[in-house]
Amino acid sequence: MSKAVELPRWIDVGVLPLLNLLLALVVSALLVLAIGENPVEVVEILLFGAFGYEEAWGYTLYYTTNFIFTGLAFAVAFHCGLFNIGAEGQAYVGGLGVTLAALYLDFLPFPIMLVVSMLAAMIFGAAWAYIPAYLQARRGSHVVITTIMFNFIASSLMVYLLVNVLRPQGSMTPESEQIAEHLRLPFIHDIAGALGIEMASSPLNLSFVYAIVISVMIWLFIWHTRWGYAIRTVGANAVAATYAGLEPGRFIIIAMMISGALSSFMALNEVMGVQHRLLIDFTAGYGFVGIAVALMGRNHPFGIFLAALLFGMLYQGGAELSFEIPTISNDMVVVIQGLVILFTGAMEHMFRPRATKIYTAWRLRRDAQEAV
Amino acid sequence: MVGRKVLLRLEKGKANPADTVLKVDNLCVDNAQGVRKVKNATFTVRAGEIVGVAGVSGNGQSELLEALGGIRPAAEGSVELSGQDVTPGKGVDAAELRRRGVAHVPEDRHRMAMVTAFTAKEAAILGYEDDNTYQKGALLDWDAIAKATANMMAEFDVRPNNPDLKAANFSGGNQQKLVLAREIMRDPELLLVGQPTRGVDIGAIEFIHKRIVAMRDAGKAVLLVSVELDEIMSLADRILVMCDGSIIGEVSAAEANERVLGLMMAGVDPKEAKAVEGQA
Repeated sequence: MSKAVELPRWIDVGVLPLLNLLLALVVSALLVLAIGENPVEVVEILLFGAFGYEEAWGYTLYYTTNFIFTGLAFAVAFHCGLFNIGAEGQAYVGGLGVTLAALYLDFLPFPIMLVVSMLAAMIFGAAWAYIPAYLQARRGSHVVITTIMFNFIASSLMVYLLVNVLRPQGSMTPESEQIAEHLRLPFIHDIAGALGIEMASSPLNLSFVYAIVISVMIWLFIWHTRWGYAIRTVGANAVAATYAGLEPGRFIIIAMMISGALSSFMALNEVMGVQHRLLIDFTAGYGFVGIAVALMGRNHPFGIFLAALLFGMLYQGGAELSFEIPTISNDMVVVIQGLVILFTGAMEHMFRPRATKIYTAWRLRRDAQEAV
Repeated sequence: MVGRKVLLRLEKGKANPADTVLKVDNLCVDNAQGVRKVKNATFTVRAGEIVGVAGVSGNGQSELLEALGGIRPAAEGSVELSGQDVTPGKGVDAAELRRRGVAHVPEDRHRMAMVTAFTAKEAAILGYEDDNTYQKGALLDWDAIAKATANMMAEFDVRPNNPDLKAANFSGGNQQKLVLAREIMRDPELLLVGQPTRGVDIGAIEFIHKRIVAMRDAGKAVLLVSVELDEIMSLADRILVMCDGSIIGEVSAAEANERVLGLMMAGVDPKEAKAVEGQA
């Protein structure tokens, strides 16, 4: 029998994504050549812009933080067989929760406020995810349709609230009041400074640490708890879940609410960490890129971390790139990001058949040699 | 599997039926489309006996088994387990029935009995993930689960004995043995088993039949649904025949043969079927 061997993990999660990424970069290089620039120089600027100096690192990791949260959010729902494309709206509404808590409970001391604002984000984000989840679980309305609709509803709702309710009197910009200084998440450069380490200032703040902690917790949750097991069972085979006594609807709602809560943590980074107020459209597409991050990271927190870092790099290095080389506009950078998503996300299995063939041939030869 | 009919004769002793374990009264079950698939089924299964349900596939046996396993609600009627009401529906689901000692080996292992994307040890706790021995604080104790799985695999001769191998990579017979091990080794009071040997190799068939009879001899109640008449006749002590959702009659193992069962499966009245058989 010439049955194909299953690929070992290091090829599946290591070599294949790297090949896809490489292909995306090759195609990007062709595009860069086409507009008359030198691709080697472009890569140099991109990498230097993302990692070349302290401040760049700070920005890259600040973007990475958002992608970790939205990537994890997508992954948890995906393990339950749900394609939650509503992270954008859930994060937006989560931001409302954070802002309201910070504006109206500003008499609380920081440590308590830290917990309260997290809870506020979670509750608002989870509540926003609950409605599509309920509709999916009990009414059969497809979550892809409802979550994207809820992004629009969230957007309109927030514009209304920002313009009519949260906007301070006399201000003409649709944004909330600043949150009190003692409630802001400390920047990493401030923490380092307090410890006597000199660091360039960047928007990187405590929420990055929180993102790492949450990643570990999600890993434990998905693979080492009963609920995680139930969520994976429902996602892989809902009939088997019913047979096991795990009611699919219940776990669809649980997974979606966790997903919404995770998306909303992005607001901690943006509202409490960097902007210090609620801005219109502060989610800026992170929710959507989170889908690509999760798919590229194989819905595993470690993979998501790596993919988030890649996209953080593309965001920060890309900004630098369009600044350094005027012919490469911001749109061109978006095209490069799009190519990475296309090759690593949508076409992730392109090399698989070939890789399997090569690996199988190699295994057979090795086995034959061992047999001699 | 081997290109011809293979005669499987099973050596088994006389059944010693004791107390009634399962009492089904006037049970009606509808499918997802609202079509009534089980019509007024009434029967009992006692401890220490195997009751077979024969019928042409699609005559309500699947829905009957699923209802008794808590997967499908009862539309009408009642089900009692050792005197306690366990009518499937509100409050009684598959998890509740498992807690009360009902094990269920469903007809379709890929669609229902296991998640083929899981590893063997993950598949081996499906439905029993709440078990205390599988917990370590708030987390699942995968070491204990792997040990328990290896134990199941050794007991039921699942090959290869590797709890970390993906369930999809086992052969059909070995998958089925793993499912049977998971359900039988819980030592349930009632075993519901559908098509236990569908798509399973000869060696495994013999092994599975022996284990089911061993359950009976240990004083457990077994309800067996199969479309293989040979299987029903060699395993069951009493045979219920279903046609178009109704149980049209009961035949003891002694008076059962393919003709009688076949006529009844086609809807012929049991008396008439036995009379026809008498003339032949």
